[in-house]
Amino acid sequence: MKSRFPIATPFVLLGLIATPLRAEYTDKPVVALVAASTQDAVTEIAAAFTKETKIAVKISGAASNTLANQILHGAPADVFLSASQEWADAVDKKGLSAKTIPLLSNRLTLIVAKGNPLDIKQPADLMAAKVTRVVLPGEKIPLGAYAKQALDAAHVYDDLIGAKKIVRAQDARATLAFVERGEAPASIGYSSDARLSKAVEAAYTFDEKSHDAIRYPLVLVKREAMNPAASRWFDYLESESAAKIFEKYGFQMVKR
Amino acid sequence: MLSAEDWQAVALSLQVAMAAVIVSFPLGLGLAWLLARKRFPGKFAVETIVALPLVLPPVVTGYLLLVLFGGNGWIGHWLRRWLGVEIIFTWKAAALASAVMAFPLMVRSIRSAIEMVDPRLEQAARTLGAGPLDAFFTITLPLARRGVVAGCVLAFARSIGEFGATIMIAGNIPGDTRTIPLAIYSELDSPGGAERSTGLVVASIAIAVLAMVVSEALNRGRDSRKIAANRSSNA
Amino acid sequence: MTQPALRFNARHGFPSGFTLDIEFAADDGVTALFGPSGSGKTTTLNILAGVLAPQRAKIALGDRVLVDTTTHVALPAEQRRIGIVFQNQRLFPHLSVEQNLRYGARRRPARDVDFARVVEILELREFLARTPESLSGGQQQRIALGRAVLRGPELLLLDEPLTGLDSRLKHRISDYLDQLIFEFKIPTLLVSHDQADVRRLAQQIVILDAGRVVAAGPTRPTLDQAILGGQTPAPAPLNLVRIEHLSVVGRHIEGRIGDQCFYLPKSAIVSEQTAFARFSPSDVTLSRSPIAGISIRNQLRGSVAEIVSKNDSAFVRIELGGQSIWAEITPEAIATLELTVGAPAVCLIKATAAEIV
Repeated sequence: MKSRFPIATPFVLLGLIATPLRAEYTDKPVVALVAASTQDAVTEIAAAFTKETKIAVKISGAASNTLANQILHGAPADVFLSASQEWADAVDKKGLSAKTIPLLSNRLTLIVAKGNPLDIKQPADLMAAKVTRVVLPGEKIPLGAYAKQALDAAHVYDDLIGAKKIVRAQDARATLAFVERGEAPASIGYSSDARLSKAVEAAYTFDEKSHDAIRYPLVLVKREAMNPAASRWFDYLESESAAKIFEKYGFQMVKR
Repeated sequence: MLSAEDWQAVALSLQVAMAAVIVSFPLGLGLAWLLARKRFPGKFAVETIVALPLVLPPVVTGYLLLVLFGGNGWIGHWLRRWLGVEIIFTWKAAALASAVMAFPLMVRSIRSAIEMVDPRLEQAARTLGAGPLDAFFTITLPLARRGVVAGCVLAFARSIGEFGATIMIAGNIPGDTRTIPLAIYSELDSPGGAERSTGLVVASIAIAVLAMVVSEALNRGRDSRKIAANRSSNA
Repeated sequence: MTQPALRFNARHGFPSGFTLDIEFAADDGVTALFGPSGSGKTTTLNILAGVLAPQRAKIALGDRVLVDTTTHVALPAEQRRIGIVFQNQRLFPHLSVEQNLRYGARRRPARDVDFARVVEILELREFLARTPESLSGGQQQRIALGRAVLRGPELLLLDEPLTGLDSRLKHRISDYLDQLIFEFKIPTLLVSHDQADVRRLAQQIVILDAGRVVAAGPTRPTLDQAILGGQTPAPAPLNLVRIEHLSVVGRHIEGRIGDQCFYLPKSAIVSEQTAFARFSPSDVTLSRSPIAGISIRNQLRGSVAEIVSKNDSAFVRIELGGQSIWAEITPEAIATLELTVGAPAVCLIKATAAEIV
C-alpha cells in the first residue's frame, strides 16, 4: 500500500533550497535600517565600507515609521537613517538613541512629465486650467506636510484645495508614480525622487525657506550590547566618500 | 530575465513560504479539526481570532507581531532571554509573518474539507478499535486530503505574496529577508526599477501557477489510479 | 461464562421529551432488540456504541464494565470490543475491501479471527482488491459484516442488517450471519423492526416500545404474546417456518416440514437446501381433517397448542414438527370446529401465499 500522505511530498523540496549564501566576515554585521528612498545610495556606500573594513552591513529599506517602530519594539538594529525628524525623535524619546545627527537634507521640487509639456515653471502655474490634478501625499506623511507649507508660502494651497485639484497618494513613491504613468500632470516630490523615473523631471525647486528643513537624521541605536562596528559605520556615513555617493543620488549633506 | 539578486529573492520566497506552510500545518490541521468537529465555549472567539489576519491590514498584523516578537515583546523577550533566539530581521520572521497571514486560508480550507467527511465513518473506525487520533489519521485525513492539499497550496501562494507583515517584522534585507514582494518594493525606489521588477512579477505568477498545477496533479493522479484499479478488477 | 454476555441498564432523557429507560440482558446466541421506530432501538445502539453518553447507566460486557455513571466509568468506543454493523454499512471509501476488512483486525482485536475463513464464509475473495463504492449493496453488507467480525468482538451489534435488501439477498445475508455467528460463537444483538428478520435470526428477544422494555424472553412465544396482547403495534404474529430438503419439482418447489410436504411457487427459487417460508395467519385455513377435492396443496397436520382472541378474531397456534403456525379465524369457527388445546387440526395454506425468505 502506498503512502496516503501526499501533502508531505512538496515540502521535501524545502531541504533542497539552500539558505541564502552569506559572506563570511569576522565582525558581527552591522544592521542598518534606512528610509527606502535612501537605500540605493546606502547600499553603494556599504559596498565601499565593507571593502575597506571587512565589516558586513545588512541594509533594510522601508518606510521611516516602520523602521522606527521596529526599533521601539526591540528589533536588533544598530543604525537608523530616517527620512523624518519626527520618527528619529520618537526613537530618541524612548532613550534608544546613543547619538543622533542630521545627516542629509533634500529639496522639494515640482515634478512633471518629461519635457514639461504643460510648461509649468512655478507653483502659480498649477492653477492653470490645463493642470487638472496635482498629486500629494497626506499631510501626515512628511512629504505631504512639506508640500503644504511650500504651496502655502506660494499662496496656492487653498486655491488648489478649493479647485479640487489635489489628489492624495499614500507615499512619496506612489505620488511620483501618478505623474510617471501620465495619470496626473504634476506632483510634488523630493529632488532625489525625480531620478527614479525616466518619464519625469523636476520643473521647479522650492525655496528651502518656504518649508521646514527636510532632514534625514542618522541615529546610532542604543542597545544592551553595542556592536563596536556600528559606530565605525555611523562615522563612515558622515565621511567625504559617503557624501560623494549621497550627492550622486540627489541628496545634500547637512553642513555642520 | 532575473538577476542574481532576483534569484536570491525567489529562492528565499520559496524557503519562507514552505517553512510557513510546514510550521503552521500541524496547528492549522488541529484547529481546523477542532472547529469542524467540536463545540466548545469560546468557539466563536477562536474563529474570529483565526480570521483576523484576513480582515486586518497586513501592516497592523505585522505591527502586532512586532509587539509580541520584538525584543521588548513578551514572546520575543522570552525567546532572546531563554533560548538566545532572535527572530526579528531573520527569514524566520518572514516565515512567521507569512504563516500568520496565510493561516486563515489554510484553516478555512481544511476545516470545510473535514466537515465534508461523514463523522459516522469516524465512529465506525472507533468501534473497530481505532483511538481518536488513529481514526483521524487513517479515515478523516485521507478523506479530506483534497481540501488539506488545497489549503496548503493556498497558504503557500499567499505566503509568496506576503508583504505588509513581512516588512514589519523581518525587515527588507537583501539575501536575508528580501522576498519577491519586498524586492519589487525596493526596485520601485531605484531608477528604472519598475521595468526591472517585471521578471520578479512573472516569477511570482509562475510559482503560484506551478503550485496549483502540482496540487491538481497530485489529486488527479491519485483518483485516476483508483479508477484504473477498479476497472481492471471489474474486467 | 456464568454471567450473561451483556447487561444493559440505562436511562436517558432527550430535550424532545422522549425518555429511554430500559434494562435487559443478552446471552450467547442472537438476541433481538425489537420495536417500531421511535421505540428506543437507535438510542440503545448509540449508547452501546459509545456515541451517546447516557445520563444514568450501568452497562457490562462479560465481567468488564463499559459504562457506570455512578463511578464515572465510560470506556471510549475503541475499548468496548463491540463489533457494529451499521445500517448503511459505513465502509471506508478510500480503502480497498481488504483494508476495510483488516481495519479492526489490525487494531488490538479482542481475539483473533481467521481472516481467510471469514473471507471464505462471506465469499469475498474476488472483491478484496476493489473499493467498496464499486460493489453492490449486498456485497457491501457482507464486507461490513466481515469487518465487524474480524475485529474479534465480544459482542456483535447488527443494526437492521437485512433492511433494504431484496428477499434473495436477505436470505443469503441471513445465511452468512448464521454461519458466522455459529462458527465464531459471538454473542449478537440484532436491532430490527421486522418480525420476519427477528424470528429468522434471534433466539431471544427484547421488545421495546416508547423507550421501555415491554417483554423479553425466547423469541417466538415472547413475540407472539406481546403482539397478541397488544403490546406492540404489529397487528398479528407472522408465520415463519423452516423448510428443509428443497427441490424443484416440475413447476413448483417442494420441501419438508418434519415429515410433511410443503409446496412453494417456483418464482421464489433458491439454490440452498433450506429456507424459510413466511405467510400471514389470515392465509391459513383450519380443518379437523385433510380435505380432498380442493386446490389448496399445503395441508399440514398438527395439533392445537394455543387459542388467543384478539379484537374480533381468534388466533390458533398449531404445533407441527417442532414448529408453530398461527391461523387467524373467527370465534364462531372455533366453536363450529370444536377446537380445543390438544385437538388435532390441519392447516390449509395456498402455495402462492407463502414467500421464501
